[in-house]
Amino acid sequence: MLINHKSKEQIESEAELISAAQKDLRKFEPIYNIYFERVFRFVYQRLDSKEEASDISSQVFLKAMENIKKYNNYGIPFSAWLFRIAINEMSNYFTKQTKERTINIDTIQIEGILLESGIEFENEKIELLINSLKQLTEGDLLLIELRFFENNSFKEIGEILDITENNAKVKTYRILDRIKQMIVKHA
Amino acid sequence: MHKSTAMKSKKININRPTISSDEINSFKNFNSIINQVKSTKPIYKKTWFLSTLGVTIIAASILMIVILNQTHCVTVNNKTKTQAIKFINPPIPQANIPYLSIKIRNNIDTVIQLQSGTTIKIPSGSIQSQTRKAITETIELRIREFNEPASVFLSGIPMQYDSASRKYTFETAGMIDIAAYKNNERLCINPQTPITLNIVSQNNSPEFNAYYLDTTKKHWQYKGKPSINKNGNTTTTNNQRNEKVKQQYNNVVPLIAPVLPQKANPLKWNIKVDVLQNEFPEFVSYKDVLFEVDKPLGKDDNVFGKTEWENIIIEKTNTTGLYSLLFSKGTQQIKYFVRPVFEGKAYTIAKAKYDTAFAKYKIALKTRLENEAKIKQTYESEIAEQENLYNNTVNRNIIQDKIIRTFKIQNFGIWNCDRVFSYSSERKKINANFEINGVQTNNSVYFVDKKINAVITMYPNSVLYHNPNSKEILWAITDDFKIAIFNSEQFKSIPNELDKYTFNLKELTVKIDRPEDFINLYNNGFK
Repeated sequence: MLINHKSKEQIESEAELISAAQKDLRKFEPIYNIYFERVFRFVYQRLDSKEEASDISSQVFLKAMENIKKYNNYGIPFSAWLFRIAINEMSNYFTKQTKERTINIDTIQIEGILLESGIEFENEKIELLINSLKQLTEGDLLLIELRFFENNSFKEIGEILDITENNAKVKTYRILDRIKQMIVKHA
Repeated sequence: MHKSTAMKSKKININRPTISSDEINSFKNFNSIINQVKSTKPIYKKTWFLSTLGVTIIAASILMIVILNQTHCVTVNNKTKTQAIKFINPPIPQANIPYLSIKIRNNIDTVIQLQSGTTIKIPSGSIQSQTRKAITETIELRIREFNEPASVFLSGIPMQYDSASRKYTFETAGMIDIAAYKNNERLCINPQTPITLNIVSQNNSPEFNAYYLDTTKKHWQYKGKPSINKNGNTTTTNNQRNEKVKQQYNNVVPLIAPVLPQKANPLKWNIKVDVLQNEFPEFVSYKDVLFEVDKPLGKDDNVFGKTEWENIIIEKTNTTGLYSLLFSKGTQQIKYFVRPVFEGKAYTIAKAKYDTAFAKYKIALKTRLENEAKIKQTYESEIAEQENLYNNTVNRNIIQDKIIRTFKIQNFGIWNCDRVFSYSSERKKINANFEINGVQTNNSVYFVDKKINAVITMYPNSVLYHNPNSKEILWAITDDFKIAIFNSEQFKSIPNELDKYTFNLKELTVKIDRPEDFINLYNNGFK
């Protein structure tokens, strides 16, 4: 999960850390330590190379530190703001590089998407699902990844993608419908 | 990336190994990032900083006084902030399933057989330090096995997986929690020599997969399909030992006895062939060896003498001193059985060389036998030590009429043979609410159907899939760790026509201090 549920105390504690970092960038280190692994996993989920995932993660934190004064915690959660930066960095990376975009998927996640699409889990459906994922646009794939691979709630997806919770839900189910149609067509 | 544009190409990896937190943390470098951030005027030189410094010092002093006077409150608040429900959360802490501690030597192959019959095959050198250094000393294995719902429940290991906020429950055909330690430092598995788990179960369904519990990402990872064997022989230790001893002997440079030269028989005919000495080292010191044919010269042999052969193959036969010589040219072939012999002076020289070579061979043979005896003794004592280390703690049963699922593991942790649990349509859906001694409870309630090897966690207003033909039990743990139950007889009394029901669980007076207390109660239907 990208964004864990936080207690009131945790939110207050994080706000204190952000406020401190806004005044002195050296105080950003505790935030870096909290979020580094989650940002790295988010980036590496979409790449094959750990080294490149490390470089992009560093870029994400560099951007976050450069812009920390602009972050206003009354808007969206800090984690959602950080993952928006990560998504933009990934987008820049794939625009500049000719590297392949990677989709890393577990069998359980395949089962999850098939079940959610109302399709019975069978071995031959796995390949059809993979083919249909390859055909999705980047935006659609990102929604599927955030929901099914990273298990975010629609509220969290909305916060990351700057859309409403309901819009995130409607869009996700439309994509699932399209996946189902693609699988049924070729089954 | 968030724009809806089609991408050039995508590569799909299925079940890529998960990167560990330790490895991710090795990429952390905060100093490098802060050095890259655009340099700004140092904070201590800023006007606002200097002007507010005095105010801050006064405020900090006041704050310190307040903190020092309220130490207790601060401590309590910190505690609240760090409180979190553990991912693996044993419901009755004092009855958690304990680890079996087994000491093994890492420099020899080990087979551990657990009470259930499950075996763990640990190849020599398969356990390493976290920094991937070899470990030769004795190490400690900590193992727990969970084969039935009671032990799975007590472990607190989550048997559900979340996909898109939907929870699915796993039915297990055997689960193992395994780790290795040296001086309490956690060790890892050498990926080149994985450990083999042979998990015993009575369920022969091919639907069970191998899963690894990723405690960092907090989910089960699919790890492939285990191979299934019925009545697999799990007592192969003796064969393995013999194989190991043989391997050790083969490491010694093989000794080749020189061949006693034979005089040529003047009544027989012979063939001269140049022998490749590396293929037949027994001829290495002899010159002018001839191959005496083991049959009289016949008519066909005239063809032999007139043919310019393209290929000659010399091979040993099962009879000592007898070789076969196969001559071939295209499809034409002729084969003779021959003995190496010498004529005249060549025999005298060969015999003298043989006497010298044989004397050397006898000395080498003696040394070799002594070395072999040492290797054997060391190996046997290591085996005996190994057996002593774990025989006292492990009951070594022979498995009969059980299914064995085999798969290899490259990580220590919790491994499971699972399948996604699904209810058949014959079950009756009941919207369930729960009470303990007549008072509504919000505690988790656990549902087990004895036909299925799974524990289903239920909450108020959950749907319970009831099978009137099955033996079903519900239990809950009260806040003071007592058990409340709704037994199988009470299930039989649920009216068929109801689609809503409040299950009133009765608290038992029995105290649960050890895992056996709960397992015995469970096995006896909580009577």
